[in-house]
Amino acid sequence: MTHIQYSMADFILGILRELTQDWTDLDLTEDCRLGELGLESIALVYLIAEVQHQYGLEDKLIRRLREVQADVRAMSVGDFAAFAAGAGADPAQTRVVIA
Amino acid sequence: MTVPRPAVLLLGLDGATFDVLEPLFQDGTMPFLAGLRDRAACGPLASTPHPISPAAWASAITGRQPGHHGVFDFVRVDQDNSRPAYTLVTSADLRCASIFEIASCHGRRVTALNFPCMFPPPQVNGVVVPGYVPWSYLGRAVHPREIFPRLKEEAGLDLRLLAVDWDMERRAIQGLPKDELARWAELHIIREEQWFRMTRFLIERCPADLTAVVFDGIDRLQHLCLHLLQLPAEDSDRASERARAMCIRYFRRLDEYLAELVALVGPDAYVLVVSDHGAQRAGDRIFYVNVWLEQQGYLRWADRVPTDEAGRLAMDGNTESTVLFNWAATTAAALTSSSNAIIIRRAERPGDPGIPPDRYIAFRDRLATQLLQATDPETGERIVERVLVRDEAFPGAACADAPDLTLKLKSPGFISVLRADATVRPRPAPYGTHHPTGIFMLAGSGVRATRSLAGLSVADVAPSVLHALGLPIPQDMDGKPALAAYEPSHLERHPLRSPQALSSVRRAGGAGPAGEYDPVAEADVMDRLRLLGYLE
Repeated sequence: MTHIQYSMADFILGILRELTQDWTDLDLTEDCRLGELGLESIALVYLIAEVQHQYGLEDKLIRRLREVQADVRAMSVGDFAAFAAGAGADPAQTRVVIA
Repeated sequence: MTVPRPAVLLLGLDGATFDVLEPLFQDGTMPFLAGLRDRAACGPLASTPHPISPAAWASAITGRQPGHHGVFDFVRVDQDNSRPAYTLVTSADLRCASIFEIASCHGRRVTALNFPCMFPPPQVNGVVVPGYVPWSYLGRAVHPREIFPRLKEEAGLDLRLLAVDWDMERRAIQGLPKDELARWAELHIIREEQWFRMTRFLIERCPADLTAVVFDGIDRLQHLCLHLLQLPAEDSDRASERARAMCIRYFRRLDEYLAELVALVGPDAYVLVVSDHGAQRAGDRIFYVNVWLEQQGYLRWADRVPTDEAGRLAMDGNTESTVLFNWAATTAAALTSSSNAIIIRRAERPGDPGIPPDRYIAFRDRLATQLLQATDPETGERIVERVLVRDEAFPGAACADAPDLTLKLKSPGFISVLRADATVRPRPAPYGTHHPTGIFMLAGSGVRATRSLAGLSVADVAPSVLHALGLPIPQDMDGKPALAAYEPSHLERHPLRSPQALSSVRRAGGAGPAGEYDPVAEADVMDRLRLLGYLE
C-alpha cells in the first residue's frame, strides 16, 4: 500500500478532470476558471462540500468564501485551491491511499 | 455461522399517500401495487414533525427523529458567522448511522439509491448512489467509484436524465404554466426509468441483502398536478387533460417498474413500500412570513429588495435568501420556504446583534404567541395553526441545530420568504403540498394481510428493515419494528433479536457506536465498525 501526498491544487484538479472527462478535451490547469468547465453552478457547491469533507474543514471553506463574497465561478482552480488551503486545510494531512 | 435470510427490498415512494393511490388501485392504473397491498400489512405512516423529504428519509434510514439525526431541511443553517447563512446538507450532517452502514457492519451487502444526505457517500459494503446530486457531479458521488463506468456503459444509463435538474426544479417549485405540466410529468417518467434500470442492473449484477431505492417523481408530480389527479378533475381544458393523462402514464409505468423489481428479488424477499410523507392540496393563500415579521418589528429588509407580485415562495437561482435582510436590525427571519421555519438571531457575545441567551426564551415565546394570533387581513382568519418550538418538537443531541420555530399553517402549504405588499396573498395556481401522513406496506413470509396497522412512524422503517434482515436493532433507535405486521406464529419462530447495546449515534469526528454485541461475531463486527469510522 502506498501513501501519496497531494497538494490541494492537485486534489482539486484531479476531481475536476474526473468530472469533465466526458465532455471536454480542455487541458485543465490551475489557471482554468471554475465557471468555464461546463459544470452546473450547483456542482461547485458539491465540490466545496467534498473539499471540506476530505480535508476535515467542517464549514470553514464555505464560510470564508461567504465572508469575502467570493464568486466561485470566476475563480481559477489555483486561486480556489489557495483559498481552501487558507481556510485551514493542511494538504499534508490528506493522503490518497493506493492499494 | 451465518443463517441465510431472505433479501429485503425497500421501495421508497416519495410523497406517496393512500388518498392518491387508492383510486389508481381501483381503476386498474396500478394493478401490481394494488395486489401487493392486498397481501401486505399496511397502514398510515406518520412523518417527521415537519414533513419534508430530507428530514423524513433521514428518519426512515436511521430510525431516529430529526432532533437526533440532525437533518431538518435541504439546507443547514449556520448562525456562527457574521450573518446567518446556510449550506446544503451532506452526509456529514447525518449524526446517526443509517441502516446501510449498520447492515454493512454486520457483513451484509447493501444497495442504496437516490436517498438524500448520502453525499459524500458512506463507505459501505455495497453500492451507494446519492440523491439530489447534479449529473455533472454524480461520478464523484457514487460508491464505489468503480461502479460508475459500469452504470454508464453496461447499464446504459444517461446521467443527465437520471439526476435532478436543479434549474428545472427551482422553476417548478414556483409553479409552471398549464401547458408545461404534461412535460413536467413526462420528465419524471424518464427519470424514474433511469433509476429503475439502475436498480434492476444492480439486483442482477451485484445482488445485495438490502436493496433500497427512492422513486421521487410522485412528490414532484403532486406539487404541480395534485388537483388534476383528484377526481372530479378541477380543470378540463386540453392542457390539463394532457397533463393528467401523462400523470396517469407515470403511475402506470411506476407500477410496472415496482412489479419487475419485486419479481427480480424473488418470492422469499421481504418487500417494504414506504413514503416519507403524504400529499394534500395547498391552501389558496400564501403567507409571506417575513413581511409579517417586518410589520411586527422583528425584521428589516436590506436595501432595494424587490416586492414579489407573482406568488413565488423563494428566490430564483442559487442566491441565498440571507441577502434579503438587514441583519443588524433583524432578530427573526424565515430563510427557506421548505422548512416553514423561523430562526431567531442569537447574540453569542455581549454587543452582538440578536437576542442574548438570558432573553431568548421570553423572546421566542412572545413571538410564538404573536404568530398564533396573526390573521389574514383579507379573510380575518388565523394564519398559523400551530407553532412547533425547537426544544419540544426536536428533542435530542442535535436540537440546537433545529429551527427555533416551525409553523404549521391553517391553510396548508409552504411559507414564502420573499417581500410582498401584504402578509398574505392569493396563490396564483393550484398547488400540492406535503401531508404529515405517508404510507407503509410490508409483504413477505410470515406477514399477515391487513390494512389496519396503526401508530407507525417513519422512524419505524429502519428497525423494520433490520428485523426483516434478521439483524439486532440498536437500542437507542426511536423507531420500533412493525411486529404487528407478522403472524404470531412467525414471530415465535423469528423473535426480535435482543436490542443491540451498540448505539447508532456517531461520535464527533465520525466515530460512533460502542458496546457489547453477539459474542461469536463481536470481534469481526468491531473490526468492520472501526473500518467504517464508528469506533476509535
